[in-house]
Amino acid sequence: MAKRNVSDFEHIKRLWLKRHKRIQRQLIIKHKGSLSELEKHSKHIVAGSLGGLLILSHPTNATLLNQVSTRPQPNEEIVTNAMQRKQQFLDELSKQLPKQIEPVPEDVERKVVETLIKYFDLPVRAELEGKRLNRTYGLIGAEQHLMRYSGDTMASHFSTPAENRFHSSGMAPGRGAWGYFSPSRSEITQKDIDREKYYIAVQTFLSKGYMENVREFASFFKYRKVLVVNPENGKAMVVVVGDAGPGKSTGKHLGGSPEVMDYLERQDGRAKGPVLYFFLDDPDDTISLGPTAIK
Amino acid sequence: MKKSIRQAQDKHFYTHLIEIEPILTTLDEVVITDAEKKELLTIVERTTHYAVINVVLGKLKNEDKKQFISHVAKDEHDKIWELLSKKTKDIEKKIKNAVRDIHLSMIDDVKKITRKQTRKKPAG
Repeated sequence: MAKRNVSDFEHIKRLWLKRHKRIQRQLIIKHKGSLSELEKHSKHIVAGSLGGLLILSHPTNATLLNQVSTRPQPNEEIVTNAMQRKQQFLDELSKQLPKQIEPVPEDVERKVVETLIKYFDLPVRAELEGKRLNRTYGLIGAEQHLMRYSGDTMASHFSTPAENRFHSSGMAPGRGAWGYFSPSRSEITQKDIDREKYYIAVQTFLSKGYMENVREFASFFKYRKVLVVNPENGKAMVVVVGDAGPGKSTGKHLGGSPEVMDYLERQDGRAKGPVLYFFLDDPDDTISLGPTAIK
Repeated sequence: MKKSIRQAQDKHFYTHLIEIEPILTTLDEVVITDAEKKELLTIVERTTHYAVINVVLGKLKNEDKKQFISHVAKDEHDKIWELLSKKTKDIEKKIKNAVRDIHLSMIDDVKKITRKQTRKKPAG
């Protein structure tokens, strides 16, 4: 039986909640009598459980949360809302998408786009500047890392220990379809780094009109922002078109960088699965690359 | 300046003793969304809160516990510290140590996961 691929987030959350519950249990066992006093004294209390008592007297709208967000919400509410919304999203998509992994008719595609806009609040487009991908629902395969500049190797590719886990994917022998991401190592920017990290390869050469105007299409596709969504788990990433491929004979319709595949929980080989991929209309370059979530 | 729980506007009575930077740095190395990070930090905050209350209650006599809890419920930080300075010894150090141990365990949890991923074979 295939083992479920658990994301880093889910894994960390599970371990931390386990630890949290253990400490909570210790507190309640050791100090139950004293905590009951709090229940009598506090005017803040709106629920009866001792565990909830401390939390309610200390709403989570402060401290750590302010460092990453200005939107305070109790944890349970965040989790419940997010789970419900994700389930709604997945249900809607499953009704819209065909049972087989096949090109989606334009009327269906329009509904899928509306769904993506509704849930991700991003400017998702099936067509941009009169150009379309050859398909927007297809099987994704694993790509390797790309050389970001001349002389980039696996030894120089990662800057944090956590990124080293992507080392084993290796580096493609040649450059990507658009050449190097940066003219040299000393000139590389965070934007270049992110473009290589969060890239997909799409079959640019199969898009309608490509062969008639290769230069214009290549210019259009180069680092074009795309929203990629795993319709089976709701995970999504903002990526760029960083390469052209895979070949038609591979049976795959697009490729994802090691980081993209890992985050979306998609695999290559016999376990490969589908994703949705649509352009993002972002002329002012305001949308960050990387994981994104249902709003 | 380091990112710190001290930067927050609303504080717990122990806020000035907590350094969250190591956990933030560790989470920065994991590919997660802001919403996911926020959710994880909520768990950190709550776990920290329980740990602190646990340490303090463990150092107080029963009659003082009631007073402490009453002050906590009303967010009366001055009264809490007045009580703790009279009734406990080195409580700040004990809170710091307890929280540091828990945060280090949480960081270890993350590192175990990232190390495991490093050893994984590539897919396909």
